[in-house]
Amino acid sequence: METDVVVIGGGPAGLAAAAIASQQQVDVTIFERARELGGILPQCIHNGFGNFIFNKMLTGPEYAQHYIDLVKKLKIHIKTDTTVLKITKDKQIIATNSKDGLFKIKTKSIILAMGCRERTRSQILLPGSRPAGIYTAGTTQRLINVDGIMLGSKIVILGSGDVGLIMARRFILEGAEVKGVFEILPHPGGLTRNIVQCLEDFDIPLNLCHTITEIHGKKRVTGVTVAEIDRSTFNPKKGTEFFIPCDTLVIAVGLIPENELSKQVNISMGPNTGGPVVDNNMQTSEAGVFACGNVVHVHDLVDDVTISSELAGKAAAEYVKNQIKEGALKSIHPGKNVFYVVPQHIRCDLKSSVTLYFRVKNIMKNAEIKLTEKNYIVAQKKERIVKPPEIVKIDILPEEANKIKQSVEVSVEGELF
Amino acid sequence: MKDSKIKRELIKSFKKHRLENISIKLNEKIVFLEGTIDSYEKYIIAGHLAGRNSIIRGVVNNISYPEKKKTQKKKGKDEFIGSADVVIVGGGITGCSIARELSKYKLKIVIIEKDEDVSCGATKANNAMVHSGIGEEPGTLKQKLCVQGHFLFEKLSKQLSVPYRQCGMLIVITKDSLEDLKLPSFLSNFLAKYVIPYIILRRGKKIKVPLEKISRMKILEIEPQLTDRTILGISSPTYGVTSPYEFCIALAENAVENGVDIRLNTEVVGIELEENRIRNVITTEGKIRTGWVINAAGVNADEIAEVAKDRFYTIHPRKGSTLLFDKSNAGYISHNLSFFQFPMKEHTKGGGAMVTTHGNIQWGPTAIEIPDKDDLSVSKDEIYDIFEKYSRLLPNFSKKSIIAYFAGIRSATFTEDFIIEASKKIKGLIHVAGIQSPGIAASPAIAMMVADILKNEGLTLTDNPKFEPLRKNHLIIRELDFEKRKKIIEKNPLYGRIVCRCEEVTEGEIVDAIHSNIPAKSLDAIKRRTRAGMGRCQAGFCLPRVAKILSRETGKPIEKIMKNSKESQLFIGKSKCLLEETDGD
Amino acid sequence: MITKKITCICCPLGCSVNVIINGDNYQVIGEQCKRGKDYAIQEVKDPRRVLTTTVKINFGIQKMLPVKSKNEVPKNLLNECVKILSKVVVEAPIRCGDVVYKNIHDTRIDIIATRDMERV
Repeated sequence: METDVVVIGGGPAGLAAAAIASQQQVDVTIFERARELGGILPQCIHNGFGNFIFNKMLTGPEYAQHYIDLVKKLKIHIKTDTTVLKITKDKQIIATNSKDGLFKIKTKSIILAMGCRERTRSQILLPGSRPAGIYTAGTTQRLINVDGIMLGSKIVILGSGDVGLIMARRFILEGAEVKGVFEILPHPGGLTRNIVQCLEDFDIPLNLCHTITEIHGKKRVTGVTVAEIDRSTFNPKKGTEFFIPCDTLVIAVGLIPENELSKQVNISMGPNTGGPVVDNNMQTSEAGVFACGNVVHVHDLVDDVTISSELAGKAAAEYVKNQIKEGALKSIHPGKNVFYVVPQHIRCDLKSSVTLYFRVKNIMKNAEIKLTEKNYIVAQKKERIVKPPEIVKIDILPEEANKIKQSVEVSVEGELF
Repeated sequence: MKDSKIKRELIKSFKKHRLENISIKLNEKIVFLEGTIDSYEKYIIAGHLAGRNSIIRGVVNNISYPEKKKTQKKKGKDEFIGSADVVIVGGGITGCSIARELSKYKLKIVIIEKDEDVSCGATKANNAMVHSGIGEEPGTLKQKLCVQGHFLFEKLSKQLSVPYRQCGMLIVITKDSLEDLKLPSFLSNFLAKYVIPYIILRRGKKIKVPLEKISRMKILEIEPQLTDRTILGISSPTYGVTSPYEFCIALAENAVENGVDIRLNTEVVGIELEENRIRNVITTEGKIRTGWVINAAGVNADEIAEVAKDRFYTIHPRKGSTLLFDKSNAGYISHNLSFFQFPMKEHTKGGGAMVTTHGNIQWGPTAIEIPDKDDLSVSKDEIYDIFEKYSRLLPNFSKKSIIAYFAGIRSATFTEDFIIEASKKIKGLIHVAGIQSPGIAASPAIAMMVADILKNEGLTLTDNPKFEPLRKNHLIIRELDFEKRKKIIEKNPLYGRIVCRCEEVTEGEIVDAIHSNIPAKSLDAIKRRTRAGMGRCQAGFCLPRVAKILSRETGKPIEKIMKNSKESQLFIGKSKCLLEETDGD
Repeated sequence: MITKKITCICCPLGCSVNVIINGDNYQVIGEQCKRGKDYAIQEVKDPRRVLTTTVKINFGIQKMLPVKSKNEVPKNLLNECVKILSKVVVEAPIRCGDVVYKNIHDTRIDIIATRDMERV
């Protein structure tokens, strides 16, 4: 079997990349390990998707439906219920499913769009026993919204990331009792919109600077011990512990790009993103291997996933047709107050502007964002507020980008909140 | 030495430890302790003082301490549910090894296991090392059986098709090994370079276990990630690694193939005697007529001894917590590594850093005396203690790659040795108790020893001509080469569908486990057999899928699917079930 | 006179806004923009939300069908609406946008499917 572009992952990233690539008249094959396309979106039944791209508030399934319909209209080979086992250096892919069995496929280009997975209880070293009733937030979302399985009636949520907040509301609307959301940091991890509409609307307490110090229960969770933490050491304060009876603990402590397959082809990984280093075409350090969506870094909004994935899809098709522009490689570094920036490289000789996505380290008001090479300002803008949970963007005009000699740095100055 | 003399010495040492209000009784070299004490720590000290003299057969520690809980006795059922020549109480590594060994003879054997699967106790949660015996107290039964047993592992693992790797152990002596002695550096250097290696090598010679001194240069060449503070190492090349739960399940499955019966979810609550002879075993499911009972009940062995009216030891649970790291670290180290520290912490060889048979790095275990026999919680302090200890061996290792931690309970007696013997009071009762580390390594030898005891006690052992030592092959799809894998999927398409992405487990393997001869009926039982859920996402992805397959294959509704034992319900029902309940409001 | 505190969600700034209610008169304090002022008054007068939930589906490739209210429903009716929908069972196939429940709780708002669901 042969194809031009293999897209690994049929979530929002893979769908957008596949659609654009296919529209450039190359042969595209999508591999998706679930039984249906859409990735995480079919379980994200809440609304708030598509504000930028469709200019309206869609639900996750609606957003997915648009791209599923698009992909199905195009001549794209879709292999669902299929797991990619191996990628070789010479771009051979080994995959398996129950219909075609085990098979190899040769391709000219690969788009990595595997998304991310959830951090687990172990990764935050949560102490206690290992009874039934401890789930990551995304797993509960899938169980309740897709599989039709209810997993508990008295819920405690650890972590205030968006999935955790959204699940707090879901549990209430399914008739469960949510005892509270506990966040170790002094500020919530999720969007303000979700704090208001998922917690405040339902009087769910949000406890900042709190963490769980023990999980109780031998067979099924019977409760958790919670304590206030010291803001400087992050250790629990003695004497502040209290017990909350519950039968379910939901862990919502963040996401990790899923790059086990990427590592098989030895591509360079970014230090703080957890994903491959990419250029403005979303090309990785390996020629012809592209990456997009949450594989590259964890996004807040699916709209941004779609936008960057379309870049990857277009570039992959151009690579297949030997049309990709290979200008000189310039690097972009995170500077003051910046945790990471994507893409990490740009290829000059650009015709259109490039959007940089970056995450700040602290909440800052009246922030001045600068993109500089030594003393030269390549681009700058102001934001009234920047926060770590919300990605910040800055555009570089092509004529400015082409002036970059070696590398530029993104930095933010502002009033700490 | 006479009981009266031992007692006098004990009273003296108890006084020295300010435990004079404890009453000490001695009877045929068994110590009975009674009284009240103000902490569990002192309860443990008292027990160990009583058991220190190697002439003592056992210590029954009935001292009460503040948090002591009374165990609730479960009720048995009166009707007969069968009969057997030999009843084995406990389906851990010890019980299953004995069952498989005895299945070589024409005997009707039943294993009674209180949990939903075999291998559920210490067997599933130890650190998997197959010790060579070099770390055990010289002259103990556990050392002797460990040396014998570990030499049998390779052959046995092949017969049972269980992974086993004889990777060897490096005992690493570093500049930090003797820090607690607070000696001048020239002296501690001399001890570390010459005296300690000499002592260890001499120990090896005595028990005929090969050992070799490895220079700093050589050890850093074979384990380049070791700390720069390494002085030298001692290699024990016959050390190995098994997969303890898989080994146990394989023994049990092979035993079943050879006619052994296993009753899961069944607890022994009593033993009926007839003129000091075993007559019936009473369980929560009914009575079993038998003449022979093998007490391999692990942490509960003292309670079984009690109901059999021959309790001469108390088990004090000792928890060991272990950390497991991502497979992406494979190749970081290649041997079991043990950090030599002197003085040693009491009653533990101190664990190690190692690579499991599946390529994960593992650190631990700890050794903590706890009052509760089923407290499997891991504390933050334990995690940080392990981090700290092994970071001194492997300073650059990424602790961020941790994927899980778990605890197991060692069933230690106060004499801190195995107790393997026929009861001196009750005919037909065989004690196999106090099987703590190195219980896995010793298990093949323990089983052979038990068979000998039974023979000496008068049980006729006639060879079973139909005994089949090879376990029926079970498929591990990820290990097949391309062509074989392709062919097998053509025969059964379920082998083509991946359910657990981290460990590459197919639906076909999960279905096989559910319908195997010891059917896996819980999520954890499937996990132990197939590895589904053991990887880096810790079942986040496969849990809903495995639960649904289990529900489909067993015909049980989803709310009846358990994580492990009876009350470990995973789900409460279908979505909307709570809204429907509130209908009447 | 009552004062209500509202967190504005119109942009990432998340301003804390106070609305002073004096009969039919609404005075907004602390807003930074026109959108924020309108939002705050709406939140105090008649808070509304799009309801997103699921209903059971028979013969579908999945067990649950995601649905939403076509327009925003009054916030205080959300719990009543999900109770009504917990008894609804639809049958596959369903198209995205199909009405699965009409005029929920007499709000004249329909509940619609938010995805296609093929029949098995």
